[in-house]
Amino acid sequence: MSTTAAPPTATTGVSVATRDVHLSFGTNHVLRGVTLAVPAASTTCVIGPSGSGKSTLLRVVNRLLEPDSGDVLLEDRSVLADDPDQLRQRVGMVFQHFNLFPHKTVRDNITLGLTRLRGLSKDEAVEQALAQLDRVGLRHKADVRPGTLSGGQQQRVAIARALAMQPQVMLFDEATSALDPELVKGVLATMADLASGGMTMLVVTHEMGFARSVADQVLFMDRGVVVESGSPDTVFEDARSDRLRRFLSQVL
Amino acid sequence: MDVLSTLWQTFFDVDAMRTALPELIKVGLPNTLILALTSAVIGTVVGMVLAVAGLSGSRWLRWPARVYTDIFRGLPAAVTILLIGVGLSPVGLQIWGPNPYPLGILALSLIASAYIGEIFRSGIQSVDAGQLEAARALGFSRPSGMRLVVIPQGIRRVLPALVNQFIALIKESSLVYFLGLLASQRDLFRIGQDAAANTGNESALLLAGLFYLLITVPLTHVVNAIDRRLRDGRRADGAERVEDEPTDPAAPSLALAQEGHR
Ligand SMILES: Nc1ncnc2c1ncn2[C@@H]1O[C@H](COP(=O)(O)OP(=O)(O)OP(=O)(O)O)[C@@H](O)[C@H]1O
Ligand SMILES: [Mg+2]
Repeated sequence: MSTTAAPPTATTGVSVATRDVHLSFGTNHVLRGVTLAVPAASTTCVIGPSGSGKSTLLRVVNRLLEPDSGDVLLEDRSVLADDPDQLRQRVGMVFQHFNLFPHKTVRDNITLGLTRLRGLSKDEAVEQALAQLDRVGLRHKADVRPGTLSGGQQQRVAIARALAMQPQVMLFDEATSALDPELVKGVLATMADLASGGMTMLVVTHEMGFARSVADQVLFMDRGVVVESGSPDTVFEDARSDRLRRFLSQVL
Repeated sequence: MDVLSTLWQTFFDVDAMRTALPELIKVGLPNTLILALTSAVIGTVVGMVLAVAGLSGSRWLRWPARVYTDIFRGLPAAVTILLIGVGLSPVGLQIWGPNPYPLGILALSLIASAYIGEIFRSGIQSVDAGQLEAARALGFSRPSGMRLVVIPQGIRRVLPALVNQFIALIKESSLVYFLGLLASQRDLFRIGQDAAANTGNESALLLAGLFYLLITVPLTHVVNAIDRRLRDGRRADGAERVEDEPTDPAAPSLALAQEGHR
């Protein structure tokens, strides 16, 4: 990967897009033609009711799920023919429930991918891990197991773990939904830093404040399609569809 | 009083114990340990293969693993040992001569692997699906994610059940006496039993029993210690997993593993 040599704080986001993506689980037609474009180094927030297909969409973008039809593009190039494991090194993902590896220390959570996938030496990997932990303010927790951290700290470790692979795109799936209210702010601040640092971000969130202040683009999804999209102002102030107006009146 | 002294003679004939002791230590103990340890190692390796096959997406792996497990877990140990030890003895004769010992180990391993496979399978299954997803999201293939992230956690959770299985195996190793072992191959039980037959009292067998307890009782304490540590570990996890708890299948699956136990 060409970005291996880059310093840990440099992010070089690339554009990501989907074209008419369809996906069904059995007879459940979850994605019904999703087209979206996230320009390089910009942030797009995806909002929408539960079950509308937001998580499924993110998993198609890094090919944890394969679409039935449609296309996924990075830097305007289809990635569906690529090796999916290689693709996932370029696309980091952060989950609602953190999914840190509980049997490994915070540091080893981060070094695992670096040594095994990036071929870094143990020392290089540790150095990189500590640098990433610095970035999220948790270097002093390198030696503990994730289970001893607060939810907010765990999520920041999960972000550091994803960033250590030096991805060109970051996906966030309700990264703060499982956190106690007082811990949400720290994680959102880390995400906002990342956005302003040039990362391309696709963020599924219920934090309308975050979407409003950080997003360059907001997508409203309902029943497997993007119903409305635009700048935060247009989407939040100028909702055209009933569905979006109803959704906003419930969450705001 | 007569009854009491007869009982005392039957179980605590010190002379009989003293006569049997050297053989119990020099022959019986090593043989029991070799039988149990070898079949524990083979059973663990084969059990892991069975567990992975049993969880595979391919029915051509899942199905044979299922049948194997059902057979060797479903048969009485004595039946398996006789079928293998006697039934395969012509084959064994060709390979290593008139020696029932390897076939005894084979039979014990087959039985152990069926149980251990189920223990591993339930442990691996109890690991949250998000773990494999997170590993794959980092760029690991499915097999690498299983090997590096999921299986290590699954094994940790079933360590107590695994040690219980080893204890069962140590006791079960006594069943190889069915196969008519050579004098030098006799295990603790067989030596105690032979001595008891010679002296007409059970003292040597009681002594052999004490040897078994010497091995198994410390192991049960190992189980308890691991159990305690796991529980403490989980409490540390507790803060992190409040939301996960309803869906965390660790507890029921562990119960299942214990249930699958003799
Ligand atoms: N692995 C799966 N197998 C079968 N059905 C699934 C799977 N994952 C999701 N679904 C179904 O797809 C639909 C969309 O789910 P998805 O998780 O993408 O929604 P969401 O918008 O992320 O909702 P939420 O806000 O609740 O997270 C739901 O009906 C869900 O039941
Ligand atoms: Mg979701």
